[in-house]
Amino acid sequence: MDRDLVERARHGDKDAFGVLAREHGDWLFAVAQRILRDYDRSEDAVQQALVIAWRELPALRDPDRFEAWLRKLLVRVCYEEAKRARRWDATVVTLLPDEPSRRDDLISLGDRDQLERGFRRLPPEQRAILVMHHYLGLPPADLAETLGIPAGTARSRLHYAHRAMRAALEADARGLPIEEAKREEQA
Amino acid sequence: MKNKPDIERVLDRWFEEGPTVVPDRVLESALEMINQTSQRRVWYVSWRYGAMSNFAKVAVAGVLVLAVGVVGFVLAERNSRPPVGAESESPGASDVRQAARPCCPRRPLRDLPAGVRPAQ
Repeated sequence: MDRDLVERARHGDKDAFGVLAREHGDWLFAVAQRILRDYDRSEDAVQQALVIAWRELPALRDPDRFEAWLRKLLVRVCYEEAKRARRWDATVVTLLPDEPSRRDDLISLGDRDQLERGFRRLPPEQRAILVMHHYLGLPPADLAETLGIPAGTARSRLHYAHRAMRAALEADARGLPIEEAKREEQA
Repeated sequence: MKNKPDIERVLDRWFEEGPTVVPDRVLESALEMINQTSQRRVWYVSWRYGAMSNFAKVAVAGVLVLAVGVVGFVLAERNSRPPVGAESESPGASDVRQAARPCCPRRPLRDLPAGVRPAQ
């Protein structure tokens, strides 16, 4: 189904691309929002990713790789959005889920705030790999492809992202600057 | 939270929260932009060269080299052959007449001004 739509869109069929955009729009937005932690920027990122995808689609050789290719585009756009952001402030906006959580006991509101602040301290590359792994459930090989890095680098980046997240939570809990917390984590 | 050894489990759970549906206006706006955006043209043939086996790549390269060689040979052969109707190397009568004709009309000496006219 997707393959046929992608082929048609590759040859300039805007209606086919519209169907693809609606089909993939939700996860694009969900991923962008989790990386950027900002509604407006996430909306911009989705729009940009879709426009770039439309423009560059004729260069996609294998229509079966459309989703992976789109994921890669989105991550690049998120990096750009993150760079464009003037500041990564630690203002906490606890995002409300679309559906009520069934396991609210696992993470308390205070924990969520702490996670939010800790996550915002991470660079976009580490945020992206954490979201790709924990939200989309991508294994290291797919992470590598999405991020355009070797598989070994993807594994080590994921490891360091976990470590940085722990350090960020430490720093947040103790009111320390992130670098100091990282040094303590490594010691 | 800070000392949780299962940070990965917490992240799994935490990322489940948050929006999962893109607002319609975002897609509408993107599709509007796409209506005004032309696709990049790809001039190369979009065959799946990368998916070919090594043997197939070598075979294709060999055929291409052979084709170029044959075309080159045919062109070289055609150029070395004299043109039809030009067996003789000696110029024809019309060529001789053409060569004998002056390149520009000669002006009679009497028409030249006195100072320019050579002494006879």
